[in-house]
Amino acid sequence: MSAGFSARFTHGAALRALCAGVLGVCLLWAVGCGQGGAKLTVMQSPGLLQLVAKAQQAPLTTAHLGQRTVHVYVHGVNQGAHHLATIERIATDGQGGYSLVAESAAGDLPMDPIDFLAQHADNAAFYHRFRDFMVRDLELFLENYELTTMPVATTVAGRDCVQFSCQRVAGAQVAQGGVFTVSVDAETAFVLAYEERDTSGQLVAAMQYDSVDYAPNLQGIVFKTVPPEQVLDLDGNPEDQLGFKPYQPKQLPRGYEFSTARVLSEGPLRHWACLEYTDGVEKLFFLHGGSAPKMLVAPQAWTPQFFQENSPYRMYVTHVGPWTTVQGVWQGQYVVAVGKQPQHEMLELVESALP
Amino acid sequence: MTAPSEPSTCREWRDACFDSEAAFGPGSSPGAGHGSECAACADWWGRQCRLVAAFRDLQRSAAPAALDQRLGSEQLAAARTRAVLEHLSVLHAPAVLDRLVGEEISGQPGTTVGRFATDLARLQAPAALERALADSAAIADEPAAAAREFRTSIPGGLRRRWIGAAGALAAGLLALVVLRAGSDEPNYRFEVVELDAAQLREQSPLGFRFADAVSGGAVAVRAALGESPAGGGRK
Repeated sequence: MSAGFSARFTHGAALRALCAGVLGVCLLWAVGCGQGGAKLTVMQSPGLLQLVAKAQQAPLTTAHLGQRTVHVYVHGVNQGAHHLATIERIATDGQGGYSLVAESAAGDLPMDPIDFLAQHADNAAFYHRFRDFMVRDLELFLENYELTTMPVATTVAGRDCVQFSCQRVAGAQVAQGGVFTVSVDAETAFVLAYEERDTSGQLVAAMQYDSVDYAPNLQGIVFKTVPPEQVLDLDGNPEDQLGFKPYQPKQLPRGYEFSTARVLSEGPLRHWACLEYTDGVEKLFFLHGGSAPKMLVAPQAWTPQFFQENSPYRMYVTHVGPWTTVQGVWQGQYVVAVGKQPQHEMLELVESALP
Repeated sequence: MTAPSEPSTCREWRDACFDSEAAFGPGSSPGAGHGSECAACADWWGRQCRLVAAFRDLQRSAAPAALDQRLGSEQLAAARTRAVLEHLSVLHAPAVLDRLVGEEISGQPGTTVGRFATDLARLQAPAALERALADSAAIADEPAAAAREFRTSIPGGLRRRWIGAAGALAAGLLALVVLRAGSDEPNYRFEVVELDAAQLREQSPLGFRFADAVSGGAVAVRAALGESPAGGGRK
């Protein structure tokens, strides 16, 4: 037996032992809980809890290179679901940097494939931070989410994984969607696959790694990070960064807490305050763009005529799948809210932010 | 001015004369009543009149000048007052007063009423009222007696089903009330207008792009391919 084979054998055996240990603890706990019908939580499984906690930081601290397929489903009333699939190359440098490139796309594309890939590149930062399942706040996740199935062993891209399903705890006002089945690498805690289903069981989104390498050659890859100047300091003088005092919602949907504040720039003269909230997994955004009249600072910038020609006290609501978008003008101040909450909760969020 | 005439006995008539401010004065008379009928009282009246006249003629005695000087000093008067007060012994209120005041301060508003009400003598109700109450109780008990008879006349299982049906009806009504309360449109300070994804893309590129990015491209798919969202009209 060669030394290399021996090393691989030893490494593989250790991984299987680790996975078996996590699952063993999970099964013992789940059998105990299942008898009495008690709520299944990650807190009751130390092994799974450690894995989920580690998953929070894994993309930031672990270098990897992988290829994955992302599926988006948009359900209609009469025509069934529209399906869009994108093959992405994803890499992290272990120091907070990331690279996300769409290599091909298929299905019900909303535009020409070349334009779609270009738009994907523009949205890469949003996709990396917000699109996929991620435990964004461990404390809120433990408080707001419960397991719906017992953790089981599975394999994704040749890696031993622990798969579990979770959703918002019963009794809370459940967000639209929000039932996740997640496969976590038993060693690195990377989320290598997930599915999201809405409350009626329809598939809304899915992602699965086709290949993954944790010791990759990263030469030639350009990594991006969130520029530090985009972090909005709400406790300091946000007016200096924005040119206006940002509105802040006072009434959040149940289970949500403030996460991050950033500056989004629509050209050099137009800035938005983007306040992010989370319930541990889901995201909720509130944007304030300052006062009218707006300047057309970039092609396809916010169209000022539409809102100014209508009532200055009007909010426009759009529903797409589980997402609800609210935007409009209040006394010349432009606001946007996006989240997976029902319309009335989104409107109450906006209402609470207005002076 | 005449003396009081109502008292018939000598003592009462004389006491009344002392209480009268104008009695025994110049020009006064014992009146036409007991004073004119009783010779003893008529004599007594005459003596009193002579005594009053004699007292009026007495000279008023003046205090010695030295005494006025001693009393004239305000400081001396104040010192005397302090000396008198210092020699006064402090009197304590009886313990029962402390208890009663404490009850008034810390007790319920009805403490005083309760205390005095318990001291009242209990009155017996008239016999007619007792009979009326007895008749009323008998009338009021008739429905209860009928209900008892009704309950015992139906089987226990049927009774439980009726109770269950009534409970379900009450729960349904409660749910209806809650649903109606929940369906009430909230009062926002702004008008709410619904747009579809295509309108959103046309009218608000930034809002459209942001929603599309965080939804993984779902908003763009909806805008391009149209159709009302599933479960449309959601609020």
